[in-house]
Amino acid sequence: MDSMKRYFLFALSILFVLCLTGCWGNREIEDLSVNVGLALDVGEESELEQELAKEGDSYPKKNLITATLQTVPVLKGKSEKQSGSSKSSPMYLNTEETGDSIFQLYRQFSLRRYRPIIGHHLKVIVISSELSRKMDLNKLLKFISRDNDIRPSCLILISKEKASEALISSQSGDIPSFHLRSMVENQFRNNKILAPMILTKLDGIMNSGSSFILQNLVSAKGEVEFAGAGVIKGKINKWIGTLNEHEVEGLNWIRGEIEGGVIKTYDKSGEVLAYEIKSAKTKIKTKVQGNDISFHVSIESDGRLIENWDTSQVPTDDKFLKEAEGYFEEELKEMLHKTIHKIQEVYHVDVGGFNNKLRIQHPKVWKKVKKEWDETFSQSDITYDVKLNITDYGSSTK
Amino acid sequence: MWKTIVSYIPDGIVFVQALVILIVPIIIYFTSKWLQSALGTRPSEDTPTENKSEENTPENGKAETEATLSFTGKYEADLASIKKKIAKNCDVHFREFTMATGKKAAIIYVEGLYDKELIEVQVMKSLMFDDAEETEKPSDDTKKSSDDTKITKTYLMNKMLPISEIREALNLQELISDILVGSTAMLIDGIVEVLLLGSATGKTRSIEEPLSEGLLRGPRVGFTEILSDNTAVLRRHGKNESLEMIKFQVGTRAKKDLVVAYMNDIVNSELLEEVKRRIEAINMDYLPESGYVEQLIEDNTLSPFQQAQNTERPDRVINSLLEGRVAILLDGSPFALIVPVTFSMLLQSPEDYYERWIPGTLLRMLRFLATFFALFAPALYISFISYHPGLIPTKLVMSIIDARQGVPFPSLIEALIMETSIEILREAGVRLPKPIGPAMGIVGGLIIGDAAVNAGLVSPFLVIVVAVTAISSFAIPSYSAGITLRLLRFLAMFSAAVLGAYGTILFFLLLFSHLVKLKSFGVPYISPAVPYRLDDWKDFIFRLPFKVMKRRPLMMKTKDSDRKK
Repeated sequence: MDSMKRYFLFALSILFVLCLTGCWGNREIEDLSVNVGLALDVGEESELEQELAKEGDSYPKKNLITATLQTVPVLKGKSEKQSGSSKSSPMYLNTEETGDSIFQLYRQFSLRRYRPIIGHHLKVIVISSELSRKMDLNKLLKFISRDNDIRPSCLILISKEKASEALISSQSGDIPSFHLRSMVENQFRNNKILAPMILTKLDGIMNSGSSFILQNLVSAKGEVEFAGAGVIKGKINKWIGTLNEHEVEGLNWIRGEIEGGVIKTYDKSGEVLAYEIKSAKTKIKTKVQGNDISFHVSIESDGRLIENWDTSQVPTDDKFLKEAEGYFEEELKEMLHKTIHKIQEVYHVDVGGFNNKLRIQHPKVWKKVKKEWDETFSQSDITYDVKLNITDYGSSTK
Repeated sequence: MWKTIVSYIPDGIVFVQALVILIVPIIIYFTSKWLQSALGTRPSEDTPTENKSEENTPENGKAETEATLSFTGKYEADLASIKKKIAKNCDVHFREFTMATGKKAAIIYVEGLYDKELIEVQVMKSLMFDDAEETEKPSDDTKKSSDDTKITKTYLMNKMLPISEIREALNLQELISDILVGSTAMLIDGIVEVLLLGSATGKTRSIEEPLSEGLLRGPRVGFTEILSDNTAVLRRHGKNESLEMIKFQVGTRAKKDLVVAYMNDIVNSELLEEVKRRIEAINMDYLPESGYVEQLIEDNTLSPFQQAQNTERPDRVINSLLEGRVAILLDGSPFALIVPVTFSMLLQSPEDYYERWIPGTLLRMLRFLATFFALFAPALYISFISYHPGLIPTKLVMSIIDARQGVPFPSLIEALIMETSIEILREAGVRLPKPIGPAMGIVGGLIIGDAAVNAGLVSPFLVIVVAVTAISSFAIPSYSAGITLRLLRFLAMFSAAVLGAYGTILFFLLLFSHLVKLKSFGVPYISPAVPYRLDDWKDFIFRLPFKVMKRRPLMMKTKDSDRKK
C-alpha cells in the first residue's frame, strides 16, 4: 500500500512537471509581421512623422537617415477577403522612420505597429544614391550585417531617386521587395543585369577595400526598372557615379558573367541585326613588365543570328554570316572600349574584377600594388580581342 | 597575473548550472533504476513466496493425497470419486452403459468439447455391439482370458478401439483436468486404468487472412486461436527437420500450452536458453493472450517500445526463424511473438521480400520517412510556427500568417486539439462495427477538420499536418509500433512547445539514447545501426538483392551463418 502511494506521488509529480512546461519564450507566427524590404534615404521626416513629433514623439536624434520598412502581410477583414482581389488595396505596408541609428529605427517601429517585426525574410535593401554619396556604406550596413536574424542572402541595390519609391508598386497584388528580388534572376535573359550582390559578398568586398558596383534602380509612376549600376569607390565606400546600361553590359562581358542576352547592332544600310548569346567565355591574362601591368581580355561566344531586318540577305549564306559576325564583334569592341574608358578615365576604379586576376596570376605583384590599386589600375593597359561565332539562325532561313 | 586568472573564473551561477547539469542526469538515472527494479523484478521476486504461503497450504495437502490416489479398478468406487470431484459442473456428462460382454462402463465428457462422432461411432458402437464378434475372433491364446470375460487394457487398446489418440490417466487429478480440457474418459469395470480418448474439438475458426497485417502479395494465411493448427501451419512451410517446437505450460491457475519454435541448427543456443528461462519464470495465474507473455518476458518494462514482435503471419515467423530468431506461440492467441526484435523489423513488411528489391527498397525508405513524419510532423509544425518563422519560405510565412489570423490558440493547444480528436476518432473507429467504421472516419476526418477550420479553431495548415501525420502512422506495418509512435508524438509536441526545434532535437536525442541502450533478448534494439554492422545494412533501410544477402544477420550470432547451405 505504501509503495502504491509512492508510485502515485511520483506519477503526480511528473504530471505537475508537464503542466509547468507551458509555452514560454515563444512567439506565435500570426503575431509577427515579416520585414521583407528596407529602403534607406537621406534623413527627411515625413509629414506624418512631423505631425507625430508635434504631438510629442521625440527623442534625441539626428535626422540623418530615413528608413522605410516594408512589412507583409497586410491583414484584411473577413468581408474584404471574400470580396477578393477586385479591390486594389496594397499587399504590403511601408512605414517610415527618421533618425540615425538603424537599429534604433527598427526598434522605434514597435512604437507604431503592434506586431513586432522579424528580419529573417528581409529580401532587399535599397539605398538611395544620394545617401550613399554622403555616408559610408559600411556604416549604413553595420547593423544589417551584424544582426543574427537577417539572412546573408539579402540583396543590396542602389536607387537613383528616393529609395522608398522603389518599394512602391502600382500593380495590386505585387510586393515590390519580392518583385526586385526575383527580377535579379532574369540574368539569363538580359545581360544588363548584374550578378546579385548579396550581403555576405558585399561584406567581404567592403572589408577588402576594393571598389564595386551595385545594380541601380530607377522608378517612375510606381514602376521600377533596373538601369545601369552605381559605382562605389572602395576606399571611401561611397557612391561616386553611375554606369549606364550599355556600360553594365560591357562590364558583364569583361567579368565573364554573361548568361544570356542580346547584342544588337546595325549593318551598313542601317538595318537592325541582333545576336542571341548562347554561351560566352571571358579570359583575362595579366602581363607584368617592370612596373607596367597590362591586361588582355579575350572573349569568345557562341550564338544565334536571331534578327536581321535586311530581308535581301539570306542567313544560309556563309559570307553574310561572316559579315554579321564582323558587325557584332565591332559592336562588342565598341562597348568594351567605352566601358573601360569610363572606369579607367572617369571613375578611376576597378570594378571589372581585374584585381582578382592579378592576385591569382601574380600574387607577389598584387601585394605590392594592392594598396593603391584603383590608381594603378587606371594607368594600366587593357587590350582585348573578341570572337563571336554564329552557330545557327534558328528555325527559319528567311 | 592573479587578477587575469580571477577574471576567467565564471560567476557562481555558472557553477550552479554545472551542478544542475551534473545532478539532473544522475537523478534521472537513479529514478529510472529504482522504477525499473520496482516494476521489473516484482513479479519474479515477490509473488512466488507470497503465492506459496497463501495458496499452496490449503491445496497442497489435498493435491498430495489426490496425486497418489490411483484408481481402484472398482467401477462404482472410481465413478463415485470422479463424480464427487466434477459432477457439480452442468456441462460434464456421465454416460453409463453396459458393454456387450455385460460389463459396466461409463463415458465422461464435457459438452461441446468432446469429439462426438468419434466417441459414438468408434467407441460406443464397437463396445456395445461389435464386442461379440470381436471377442469370438481372437485366437486361442487369448481365449482363456475372454472366457473369463476379462478384458484387459491392452486388449481394449489393441483390438477394440480403432482410434489413434488414446492415453491412460494415472491418477484422479490428471484425469479430471484432462476431462475438463476436452478429452473423453472411459471407465470400465475391472480395468484399473481409466482411458482418455480423443482430444478437444470445440468450435474453431478457419484459417483466414490476417486482419492486422494485410498484404497484396504473399500467402493469405494467418494464425488461428488453436495452437495445434498454428504449429501445423508452421510445419507445413517445407520439409525441414531442424524446426523444433518445445512445449511449456504457463499459468499457475489455468494452464495453457505455449510452444517455443526455433531452427535447432541456426538459433544461438544462449538465446534459446534465455527464452526458455524467461518463459519458465513466468508467474501469472492466467495468460489470455500472447501480449501477456510479451510483457512478462520483456527486458525493459519502462520502455515505450515493444521488445517482441507480434505477428499473425506464419510466413513472417518462418522468415524470422531462418534468421535465427525464436518464435513463441500461445494457445488461444493468433499472435505469435518473435524475439529478439529490432526496430527496423517493425518497419518491415514481408512484401519487401516478395516484390523485387528495387521497389522493396523504395517502400522501406518510404516507411522510414513515414515514421519520421508520424513522430515529428506536429512537433515541427509547432516549432516552426511558434519559434522559427525564419525557417519557413517567405511566401508560405505570409499565407500562414494570413490563415492563422483568426486562430485564438497558440500552436501547441491548436495541435493538441486536432491530434487528440484524431486519436479519439481512430480509437472510436476500431470499436465501431465494420460498416460504420469508414463512414465515421470520413465524417470525423473531413467534416470535423473542415468545421474546425471554418470556426476558426485551427488553421488549415494544421489540418494538413495532422492528416499527413495520421496517414503516415497508418503506413507503419506493425500496429503496436504505431501506438508507441502515437504516444511519443505527443511528447515530441510538448518538447517542441517548450524549446522549439531545439527541444525537438533534444527529444530526438533523448529518444535515441534510450533506443541505443535498449536491448531485446541481448540484441541491441537499433542494430545494425548501433552497434554498427555494415553487413547487416543489406537488409536494413535497403533491401538488397537476394544474391547479395548470402548470410544471416550477424547480430543474431547464429550457429550457421550461411544462407546457401
